[in-house]
Amino acid sequence: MKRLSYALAVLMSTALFATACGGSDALVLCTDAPYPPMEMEIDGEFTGFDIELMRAIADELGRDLEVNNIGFDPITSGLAMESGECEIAAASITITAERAENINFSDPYFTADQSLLVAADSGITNLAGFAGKNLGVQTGTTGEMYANANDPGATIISFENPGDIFTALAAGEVEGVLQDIVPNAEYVLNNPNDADLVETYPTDESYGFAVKKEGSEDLLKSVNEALAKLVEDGTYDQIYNDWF
Amino acid sequence: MYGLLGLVVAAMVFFADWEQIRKSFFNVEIIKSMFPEVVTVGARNTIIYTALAFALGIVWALGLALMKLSSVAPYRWFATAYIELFRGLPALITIILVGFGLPLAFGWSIPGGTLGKGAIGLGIVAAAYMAETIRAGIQAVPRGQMEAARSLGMSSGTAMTYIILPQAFRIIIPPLTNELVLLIKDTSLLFVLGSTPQSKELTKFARDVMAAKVNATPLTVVAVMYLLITLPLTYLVRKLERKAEAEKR
Repeated sequence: MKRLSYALAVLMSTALFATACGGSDALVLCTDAPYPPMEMEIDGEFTGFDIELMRAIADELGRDLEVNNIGFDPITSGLAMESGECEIAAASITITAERAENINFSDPYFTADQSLLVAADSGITNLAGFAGKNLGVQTGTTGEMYANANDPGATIISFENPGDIFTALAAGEVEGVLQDIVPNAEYVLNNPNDADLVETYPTDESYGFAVKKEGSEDLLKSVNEALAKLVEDGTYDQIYNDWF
Repeated sequence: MYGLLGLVVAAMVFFADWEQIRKSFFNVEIIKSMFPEVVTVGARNTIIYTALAFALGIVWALGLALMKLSSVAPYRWFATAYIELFRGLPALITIILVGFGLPLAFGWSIPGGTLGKGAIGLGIVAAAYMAETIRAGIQAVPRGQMEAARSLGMSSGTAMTYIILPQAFRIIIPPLTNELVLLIKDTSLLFVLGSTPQSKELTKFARDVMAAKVNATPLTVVAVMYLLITLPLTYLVRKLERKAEAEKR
């Protein structure tokens, strides 16, 4: 029994020690991969537009970047940042006023136009053509909001991730997908015979990096400064051209 | 030892960042914003999916159990293969196969949207588990019961229906309750099928609010909702069990 309490005490102090020290000086980034080409894993390394941009920002801050593929739920609950699992999240997160009540966003770094993709054999050419049809969207995205606001009388089905939506598209469960242009364009590129991109809708919404609401003002400020510098010196465009 | 445990609990209470917990898990504004939909949509759908899946599952499980005990070898083979397959696969994969695999392969999909696909997908899995429970229940009824019934001139089907199964089901009330409670929680896997605003179950409902508000409070709310569903249910079953026990005497 003695030994057990001793072990417990050691375990607890180790845990306390670990939390207190919080790892090295690397900037820990939370993301939700795969969401190509924004974030994905290639040969065991995380990369993609979000990740590489963030890496450049970490460079500017003089820190290494450590990627934690924690998933969308811990990020969208704010828990990943509040609990200190990571300092910042980059996961194609659309900036909305509602979200900004509970987390802070960096300056926008990417404009997320919406687009409509249809199954090649559906014969549908625009959003109005979805009256009475099934339209796939991704949960909690600008695409979902746009579809609901401009609903042509379709059944709008929300999926957790683009993979699920495209499986549903292939299965004929939905006739089209309304979401950010990035994953839609990527899908058409890879499956030119199965799907067509028929419409795009410019929205005023964009992606931002997310940090916790309180106690991250300094980080946010330096990230914004680094981002501005990267845009100015052309590094941003260089990374952009690598991925789009 | 208990002293140490008390100390650990006291330390956790003392060192916990209550302000942080309140902010992340008990945001009153968000709690308010979730009602009444969390009940009228979320809880309602969770209960409907569970009830339908359980109903389908138990009927199908009974068939499987009888096949497994059958003297006809191919019936036994089929039941064994079915049970091993669907007990071995993660429920999530079975749901995806039912929801997307069927239409991909045959161009035909189960009607009824999430309700139809979800209930059948979960029913298929639940049947595999419950079939073994029912089989065990049937085998737990003393052999003499069947022999006595047959010697009174009952056919084996009649004896099974009126003598063996009622006793078997009485025996397996606790494990069947387990299965029902598991099924309630497995409905949270139905998110993969996609959802419309009216077809969300509790977990999906919470995750959507979570994504919109960037706060974990919705998880607390639905955790309480799950308990509000399961606790009265298990209480009811305990009463049922006691009643069955009393009748036996």
